[in-house]
Order: sequence, then C-alpha cells, then structure tokens
Amino acid sequence: MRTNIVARSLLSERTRRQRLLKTILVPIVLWSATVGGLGADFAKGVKRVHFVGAPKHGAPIDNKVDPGLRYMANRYEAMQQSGSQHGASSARTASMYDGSRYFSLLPPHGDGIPRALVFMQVSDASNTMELERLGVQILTTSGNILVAEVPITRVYEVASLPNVLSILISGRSKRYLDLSRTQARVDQVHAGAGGLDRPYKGNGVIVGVIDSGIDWSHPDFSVEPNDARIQWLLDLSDSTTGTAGREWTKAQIDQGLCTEIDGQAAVGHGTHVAGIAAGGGKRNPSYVGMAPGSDIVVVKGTRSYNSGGGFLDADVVNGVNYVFTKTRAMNKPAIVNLSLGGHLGPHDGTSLYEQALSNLVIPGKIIVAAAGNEGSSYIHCSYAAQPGTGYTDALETPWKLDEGTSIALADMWYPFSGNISVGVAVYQVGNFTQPLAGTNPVPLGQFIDNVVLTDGTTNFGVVSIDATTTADPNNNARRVLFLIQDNPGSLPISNYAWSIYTFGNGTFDVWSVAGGGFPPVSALPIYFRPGDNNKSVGTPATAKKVVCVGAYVTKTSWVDLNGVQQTQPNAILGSISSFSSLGPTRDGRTKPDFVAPGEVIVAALSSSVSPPPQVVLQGGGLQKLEGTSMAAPHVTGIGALMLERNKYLSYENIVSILSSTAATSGVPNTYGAGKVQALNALLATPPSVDCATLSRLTGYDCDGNIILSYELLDAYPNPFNPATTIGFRLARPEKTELAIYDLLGQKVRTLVTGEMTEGFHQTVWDGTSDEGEIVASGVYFSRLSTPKFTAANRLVLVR
Amino acid sequence: MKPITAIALTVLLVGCGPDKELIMDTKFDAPLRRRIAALTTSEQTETLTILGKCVSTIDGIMRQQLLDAGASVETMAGDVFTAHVSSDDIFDVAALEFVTQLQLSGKSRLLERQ
Repeated sequence: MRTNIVARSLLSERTRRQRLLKTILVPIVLWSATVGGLGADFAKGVKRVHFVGAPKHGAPIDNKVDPGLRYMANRYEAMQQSGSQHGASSARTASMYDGSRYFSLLPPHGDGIPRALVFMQVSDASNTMELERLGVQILTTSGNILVAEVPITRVYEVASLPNVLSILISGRSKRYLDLSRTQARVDQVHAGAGGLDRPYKGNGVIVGVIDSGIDWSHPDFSVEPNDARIQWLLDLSDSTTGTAGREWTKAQIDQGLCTEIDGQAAVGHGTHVAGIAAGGGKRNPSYVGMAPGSDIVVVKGTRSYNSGGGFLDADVVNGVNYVFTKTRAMNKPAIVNLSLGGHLGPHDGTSLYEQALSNLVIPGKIIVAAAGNEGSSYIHCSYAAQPGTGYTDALETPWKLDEGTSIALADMWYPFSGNISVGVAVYQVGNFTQPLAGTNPVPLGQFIDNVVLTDGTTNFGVVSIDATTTADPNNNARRVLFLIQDNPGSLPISNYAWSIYTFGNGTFDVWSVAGGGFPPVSALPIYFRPGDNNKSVGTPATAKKVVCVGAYVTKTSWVDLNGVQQTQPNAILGSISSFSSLGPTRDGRTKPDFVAPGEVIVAALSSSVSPPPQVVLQGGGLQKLEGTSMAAPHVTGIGALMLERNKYLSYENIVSILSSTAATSGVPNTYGAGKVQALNALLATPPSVDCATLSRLTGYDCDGNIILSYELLDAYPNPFNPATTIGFRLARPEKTELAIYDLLGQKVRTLVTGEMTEGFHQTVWDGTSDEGEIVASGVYFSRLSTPKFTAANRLVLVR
Repeated sequence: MKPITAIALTVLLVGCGPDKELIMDTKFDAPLRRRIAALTTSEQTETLTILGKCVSTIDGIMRQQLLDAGASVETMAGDVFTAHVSSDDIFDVAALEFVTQLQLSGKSRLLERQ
C-alpha cells in the first residue's frame, strides 16, 4: 500500500516539475522572441498576462487530505528520493521544520520520520486503534475532531482508513500569538530547526509569573486534564492561612481544589501573560506560548480576590523569592516574569526594591520586567534650574492632573552637587499667566506638610512637599516628594491646573508617579518647561540585574468573537509600539535592553473575566491585549528556552546573548539592542558547564548558594563619632584578629582575637585605645587577619 | 513658616525624641517619613510594609535581632530585607546598628494598555 502511495506521489512530483520547467522555459522563449517589443507594449499600456500551471485532476483520496498536508507529504517524499540519489541533505529536511514557513512539520520522535500536526475528522472518535497502529499520536479529542501528530510518510495510509473523514494540517492560520512567535523566530527553536541540535521548549525550566493570578483550569497550563503544569501557586489575596498568602500544590490543583481566580479587575492579565510565556497551545495549537515544555510557578501578587489593587513592591520581592526558593528545591533553573511597574523612586537601580530583586538574581535564576507603557506619556520632566531667590525667578512645569483624581504624587531626584528650592502653584485651567495661589519655596532639607492652598476665599487643594532627603544613602542624591490631595469640602484638585516651580542650581529629573503628568500646554509663558517621555522606563525594569523589555507591533487586526474584523488603531507592523517606554535610566544605562512582540498579542483568556466581545477571538478562550506586559513574557519564555540549553546562564549571559543576536532596529533607548531573535539566541547559547567550572566563573555553587568567602566590610558609619560598626565574614572556623591601626602602623586597639566560627561577625569600635583612652580625630585602619586572609579598610574619626 | 507647617513640625518633634528625629532623618526614606508623620499627627498605628537595608548580608543573628525589634521579616535578599512592622515598633527596628535604611514599600501596577 505504502509503495503505491509513494509511487503515486513521486509521479505527481515529476509531473509538477515538468510543468514547472515549462512555465519557466516558455516565458523565457517568448520573452527572447519579443524582447524588442515588450517595452513598446508597456508604453502603450498593453497588459501581458502569462497563464501558467495547467490544472490536473486529483485522486479520490485527495478529498480527504487538505492541499497543505499533501504538499508537505509529497515534498518530504521527493526530498527523501532526491537524498537517496544525491546524498541526504539534512539542511533541506530541516527546512521543513521551519516554523516561519506557511506549512511545516514537527521533528521526528525517534523513528526518524517527521510528523505533521493535524486536525482529523473521524466518524468514530472512540475507535482509534488503527490510527495508533499507524503511529498516530492523538493529543486532543473534541467531539469527532482529533488533534494529532501523524508520521508524514503515513498520511495517505491514515487518510485511507474508513474511519477518517478528513485531515487538515495545523498551523495554516499564522496569526496573533503564533505570528509573534514567528517574528521572534521561536517556532524554529521549538522545531529544533535552523542548525539547533534538538528542539527546545523550556523542558526542565520553571517559568515564574508574579501577576494578577492565573486561570489554573485553562488547558494551556496542563499536560493533560488533571495534570497541571503549575507546580505551585501562591495566592496573596487569600489570607485564610496567614498574611503570607495561601499556597496551592500541584496535587491540589489536579484535584480541582484550588479556589484562586484571575479576576475581572485585571482583565485576566496573569493568565494572558502566562499563556504567552508558557502556554501549551492545548486550547488551540496555533497559540502555543514561548516555552510550552516548561513547568510553572505562579504568585497571585494582588491582595484582592478580584485581582485589583496593584502590587506592593515588597510582595513582588517576596513573590520572586518564593519562586526561586521552590525551584531551588526542585533543582531547576527559573525565570520570573514581572509585567508590572511604577515610577516611585530614583530610576537608577538603587532603591531597595531594585536592589532586593537584583540580589535575588544568580546564575540560573533570572528576572524579566516590562519596560512600561509611558512612551507617549509626559510623565517625566528634566531641566537645569536657574538661579533665583523666589517664585518670580523660578522656572515651572505644568502638572496636569487626571480627571477625577483625588491625589497626585511626583518624585524628583537630582545630584548631590545641586541645591534646588521647589514649590507648587495652582492656576485656572487654560491660563498659566497668573497663579491663583502657591506654596512658599521649600529649600533643600526642609518640608511643608498638608498645606491648604488658598487665595483666602477658595481652597484649591492640600499640598505636601518633602525636600528633607539631602543625600539618599543609596545613591547620595537629593530627593523631593510632591503630594497634592483634594481638600475636603472643596472642588476636586483636577478642576485646576497645577505646576511645580524650581530655582537654584542643578539639573533634576521628576516623574509623575500617580494622578497626572507634565504635558505641553498651548500658550505657555516662556518660563514654563513642559515634560517629555524620556526616562519613562519604570521600576523594577530599571533594576541593575533585571532584564528590561520594550514592545513592538506584530499584529494589527483580528477577528472578534462576533466574527467581525477588528483593527488596532495607530499601529504599524514592525514598528515600536507608541506606548513602549523609553530609556535611559537616571544613571544613564540604555533601556530597554531589547524589544519583543507586544502589540497586539492573542493568548489565553481567564474564565473568570468577561471582556468585551471585540477583544475576544473568534471561538473564545483567547483574548487580545497589548502592552509591554505582553512583550516581557515573550522574553521570559525565550529565556526559558535558553536555560533549557544551559541552566547556569546568568543575567549578564542572557542580556549579552539576546542583545548580540537581536535584529538591530534603531534608536537604542527606544529599541535597546533590537528585536529579540530566539533562534539566533539559542544558537549563541553555550551548553551547560560542569559545577566546578561554574563555581570558578561565578562564585556560586550549583544550587545557587554563594560560596563562603572572606570579607572585611566597610565600617558604618564612616566617618564616625563616637562609634562605628565593623563587620567581617570568614569562610571557615579560624584563628582571627581584627584590630585598629593608626597612620603610622601602630596598633591602637584589638577588637577581636581568637578562634572564630565561619560566617558573619560584627563588632563596634568606640574610638578608644586598648588602654581605654579616647583617641584623636584622624585616619585609622581596620585590619582583619587570619592564616588564610588579610584585608584592611580605612576609617575616619571626626571629633 | 505657615502655621499648619509649624504645627506639623511641632507634633513631629514632640512626638519623637531627639533619637527618633535622627533616625527619621538618617534612616527613613521620604515616603516613610511622610507616613510616620501622618500617623503621628492622627495618633494612629498601622502595620507598615517596608524594605530595609543592612550593612552586610543578613545572617541568622541579624534576622533574629530584626524579629526581636518587631519586624516580621519575610524575604532576605543579600543585604536587603522585606518586612511588616507596626508603626509603633519601626523606630526600634531602625535603631539597630546594622540597619542603614528603611523604605516604605511602593506599589506597582500592571502594564497592559487599557
């Protein structure tokens, strides 16, 4: 039977080739004969049409097998025939797995035969014995429709079974999420094509999602029904078992006991994000996520059952730590997605939120964050203050409050070398020439608290300004917080136009954190400086060891639940999304690191939400969303593929590889290094190294634990008076001495002497000698010495 | 100085001894200072979610001292920790010598475009 089929298809292939040859040769001959006259014909407007490709009749079995599948089956057989005659070409065969092509095959399972992913209509879905005998692997049964993998050499045999009514190759509708997969060259990685040694789907890697929750019952997050890929789910909105949230195990999820939902208030955000990063495509194979082979750990980070209310920074840190702790116990690498952010803080990686996240990142434990959606919003302003003594000398920035907002917050930072006085003024909307009222200037180091801004008759709002941070301990910068709130009993603050005014010296950055922005306003007086969209990448994407992802457009239309074609306004395929936040960070680092598909993206829809039908895909179960929230999980999933290849990759490795292999696109602080390309990144990812090599390179052991080391810490405070604390760390139990020396090398005081345990120790020096005498102001040195280690640090005592 | 500012300052300074003033100035970030000031003015107590920084990687001894001072420590990430702490206890936590800064936890929002 099989021989006959092969013969028939080869005959078809030969016939096709002969006809193809004719279609090429005939026009060439015709063109050669009339080459002198063509130009004249075109000049006269004569339209020449060459009809090529003579139609032929198909065999009866062709009615069962769709043309795409026939094409792939015949092409594979022709390649095999050609290979046996001229030597096999693995590259040509590999091209059949190329997911960017309209039709493609899945790589072999072990029998060496590629497989086609198909939809198969059968008369009796319970009678699959003959299908299985032919090597068909049934993935999903839905009524009389099967989703199955079929060995490509047995397509016609399968089609000839009486039980089989029709077979359709999957992947013909290259749309939405699978379009973004193609753009990011993820399909090829899944197929093991393009020179890869094997397919990569994120197997053995944990994708962590800190988000609004997840629809854990969605088939995209299960291997099979009642076999969840979600290993752990921590629900912070459920305080049944304490403030640290309620934990659900895989076993409980499998049994359907989990009560967590991804609620309406967040439009199913977490489910969508998880679907992009790790969705298995069970609902619809066209919508497979980036790492469908990975396992998943989810933290529902909102404190609201219905998923509203935002995320406390500390909860995000706790959530990431939860994922890493769980995965460490499983001895697996992990990559955590944070499609969330805000604008409170210095935007330079030094806030404790940013530091904590960076501290959690070690080789094999990676964090990815969305850049933010303020690329077209005027949430930032920066200019050099000009000298002056009061409001009349000041420059101003219009601060437009959102309609209905009752509170507005802005956060200003500038270098220690500056000295800027600030204030807030209020105007009638549309008239920035004469303020209605204003605060007194607040000099560096001072504050005003809950000042009611009034002209004596009307109260406009309540203002607080805190300029008391003269040197933030983390970056030595100066900081000013501005807060405007409704005055009870008065008109809302959004009924007025506001401004921030400054004078002094120094260049500042100020971000609107909540309730408004600094947009250009028509007819502004010359002393006004409107805001911009620079440095609009939010926190935690500004952290020093968090991968930052912007968004570009890969899809502009979709067919909605009602079958209506919808179009995304103002989106140009391949261009940066207008909302994608811009870099750099305040300390000058280029951001985003790169961009990924983020507009519009179709992925899993939570069953707990009811979005408008216009955003739900025809057939249901999937919805379209856009945002850097959707771009980040593309990189999270691609990172999981890279970690499958090398589970010890560090943050620096991931950023370096994805940057060097990205498709260069344009302005660095818009596109970063460019558009991520998964295949190129996988090809550039070295395979895992052994533990000893890893330890030598990174300072971490294979469980991600820091290798114990010696360290003498800087004294704190320093300079000091009257006392300072000195910490040190030992790698092993040892005879140890910690002593203070003066500039002449004379020992002044012995603080520690004797056998000490390994780990951290600290002691206080009170500025006295061994004799108990108070020592003079000056420079001293702390010196730690053990048989294996010696170090010294400088101290300054100021009396 | 406007009267209301003076009143707020007075409340703060009377409510906090000189040590507390020093701690607020040197160890609290601006949002935490504002929160503590508001709570002091309204004579209220609340549980604050904070992030704190220490002089070095936090070890078991330091963690125990934080707990003893009233901080419910959750994550320890190198030299940074997250914790819940009552506004009544926050000065005790800040007074620990190895604690160099406390920040009030901010809030993030989801980044899908509405």
